[in-house]
Amino acid sequence: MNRLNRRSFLGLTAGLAGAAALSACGGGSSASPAGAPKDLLLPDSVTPPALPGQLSSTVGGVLPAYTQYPASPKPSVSAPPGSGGDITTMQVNYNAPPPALSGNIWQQELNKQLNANIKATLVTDADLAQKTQTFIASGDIPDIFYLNLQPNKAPAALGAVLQGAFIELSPYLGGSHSKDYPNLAALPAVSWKNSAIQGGLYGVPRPVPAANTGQPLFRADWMQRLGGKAPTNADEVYAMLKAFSTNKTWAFGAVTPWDQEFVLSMFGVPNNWRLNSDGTLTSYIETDEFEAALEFLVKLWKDGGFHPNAASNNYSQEQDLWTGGSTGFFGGNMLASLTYLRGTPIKGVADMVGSIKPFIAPGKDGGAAGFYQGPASYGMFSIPSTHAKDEKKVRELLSVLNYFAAPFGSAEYTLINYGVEGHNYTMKDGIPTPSQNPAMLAEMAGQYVPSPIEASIYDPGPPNESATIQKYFEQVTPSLVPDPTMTKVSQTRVAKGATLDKLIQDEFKAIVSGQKPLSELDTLRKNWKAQGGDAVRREFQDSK
Amino acid sequence: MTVATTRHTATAGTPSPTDSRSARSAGTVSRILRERWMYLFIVPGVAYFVIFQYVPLFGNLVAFKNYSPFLGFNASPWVGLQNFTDLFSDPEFLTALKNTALISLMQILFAFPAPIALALMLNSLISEKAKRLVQSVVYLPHFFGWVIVISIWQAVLGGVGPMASLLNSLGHGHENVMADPHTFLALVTAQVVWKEVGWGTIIFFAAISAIPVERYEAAAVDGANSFRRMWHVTLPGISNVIVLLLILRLGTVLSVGFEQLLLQQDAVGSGAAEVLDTFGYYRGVIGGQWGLATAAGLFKGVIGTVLVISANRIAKRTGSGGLF
Repeated sequence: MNRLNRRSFLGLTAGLAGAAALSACGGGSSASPAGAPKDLLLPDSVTPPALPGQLSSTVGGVLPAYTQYPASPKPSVSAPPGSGGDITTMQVNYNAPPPALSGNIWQQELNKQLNANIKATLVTDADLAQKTQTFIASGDIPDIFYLNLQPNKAPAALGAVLQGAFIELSPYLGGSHSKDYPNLAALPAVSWKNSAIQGGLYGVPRPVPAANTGQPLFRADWMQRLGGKAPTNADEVYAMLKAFSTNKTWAFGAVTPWDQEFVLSMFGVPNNWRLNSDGTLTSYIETDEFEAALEFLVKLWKDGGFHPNAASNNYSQEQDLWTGGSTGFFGGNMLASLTYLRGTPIKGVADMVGSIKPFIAPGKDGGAAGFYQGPASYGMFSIPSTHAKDEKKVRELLSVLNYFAAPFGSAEYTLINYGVEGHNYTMKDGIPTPSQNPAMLAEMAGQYVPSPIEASIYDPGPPNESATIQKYFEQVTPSLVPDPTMTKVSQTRVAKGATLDKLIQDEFKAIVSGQKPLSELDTLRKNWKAQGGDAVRREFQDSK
Repeated sequence: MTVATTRHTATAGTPSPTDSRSARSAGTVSRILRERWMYLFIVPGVAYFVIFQYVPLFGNLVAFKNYSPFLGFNASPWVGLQNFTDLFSDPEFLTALKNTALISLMQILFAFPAPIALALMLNSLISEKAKRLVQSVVYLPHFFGWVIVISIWQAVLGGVGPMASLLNSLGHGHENVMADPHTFLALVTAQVVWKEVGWGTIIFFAAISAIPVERYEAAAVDGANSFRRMWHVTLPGISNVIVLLLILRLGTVLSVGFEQLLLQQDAVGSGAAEVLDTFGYYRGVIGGQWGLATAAGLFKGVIGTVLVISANRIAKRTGSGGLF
């Protein structure tokens, strides 16, 4: 259930041999969609009726919290969205593979409710980039296609989007048209806005909080043992990270710009780009703040703050260190970490809620850190342009997505996220409690859809936990730093973005872990500029 | 054989029995018909080569296009040699080329002769039982996938493995051999030797067993000790096989373990572990720069072909049989 891994795990199979063979395919028009960010027509927003126990924050941009789950979830959709036929999907799956349909009560029930026969291709997170590219290359793109263009996912697929591989949905969803799909209209407006490309809506976003990186879970119990005072500046944070690191424990289990993002935020490193007063852009790696953050981490490495294998540890090895009680920090996306990661016991920790908390870093010299505003979505669900001329089919697929996007606590939401009552979960003291049987969880492998589960704060733990989590968000949301290039397109970035990101990630790792001296940062900046960084900058600057 | 079949159909369509060419073809046809079962056995093999080796060759045209899988082959624009210009001005490619050449050179110097040495050593064992046992043990790593091999190496040589603890207790600080880009070249070569040395001995054993026993007997009668027998009988006896394998090896000189390097690239960085195959994977499959990646693949193929042909010529000139 956790979708916490933003890093790419490398698929091990396909090599270049396949690359050349994938030629005689594709289709559709070569006309690239004309459009500009200013033409964006967002769906008119609809707010679903408030539920008992719902807490709406007074701080702008903070998601609603729910202190209780509805005892009898009500349907949000009046008629089954499907027409009885097959619907193919490509979805990411973070669980075990599902059983066959004949033995999958959950899928049978979902198909019945949808009046459709879902034929899902489930892809692991590690294979996402490769599978996305292969599906697009095959020309046979499933009806509902999970498209995640974020760095380290499948950013290269943006090229196909711009060439018209997917339907632009504004005629169906833009402005007042959204009333046909009320659940889609109820998804957070910021998620819609930031998932737009060149002013076009190319998919239904999977909403997540805008503050979704840079607040890892940490061992608050270790801090308690050190005196319990939360650090208020970079020096105190350093002292704490160092104190977390003994011969048997370490602050961090892996080294990536994502795992240590809060250090960058603490030093005021910009969110990808800094927009200067003269309209030019400065990449974050070109800033003095980035150099200072690197220096901090290099020193910490030398002081033993990282697990000795941190440079090569992958996500699951890092998670093993965390659950083994060996590392002090893990994760980065606060909501998902608190709801899911905190459900996995840690060796030697009895009180998970009291001991494991999100770490909200201070600013370098006190005050608040500049946490990064994310796109507020984690990929989107797109419809291939092969259906462009079949309005009925498009409307059917949008109705299915509308079903998937049912609001928190509705009957559809419950079926998608918790399953069939008495089978996948049971209600205990008003809390939907998942079955402990892994086979029941595996049935729900196809549950990663545009459901607003990560846009609703609901923690089934102690009574006030949902409210407490909402307070964490109130703490970080006001100072979120936006990315000035968020919905802009740079053709060079489409072509070389993956390469440039990898270059930075590799050098970040090499410098922090002492394989290369800090002075190599200049080489990195030079190479990055020469290999396309300067072109990306120019294109973003020229993009209006 | 494909040629023969086409000629057959052509002849069948033009009935002119007096034509001498047809008469010759008729002879071919009847020969084919006589040996039809033999030809039938060849069909699957030929089909394999045509479908999976020859047809994909046309995919190399992508190297001259700004290829987009969505637009398809025909709609993607031709860009001439642009991909090659980009390729040779790309510092990552030059790094990949350098790393590939270095790793390959190390493998030819160390991983290639290792099985020969091992085969000779095992051959000198007298006890059949001991020989079989050692063989089974050294074959085993060949059947492990690279993921497993690297996990094992990581467990032993990694930052928290026994090796690191030992060095640490001896006061050498925290050494993590698995994440050190400076010694990476030696590490990947050692891994290949460890994994493949046993398997590689099979062919040499077969060659050794083909050497007539009389030669050893004659040499022994002449007073040659075991080292002399190895030097003057065994090695010359298998030299043809060694040359043959070396020529074949040169054809893949620019392909070094894709999985092995991909898996370890995170640990040591692309400066040390980027090779042509991983370059193609990252630029093409992940990065979507299909044209550029194909250009890299085509370049690799051309170099391999040139090397095989020249090695074959040299082998023939120096008196060993060569390959073709």
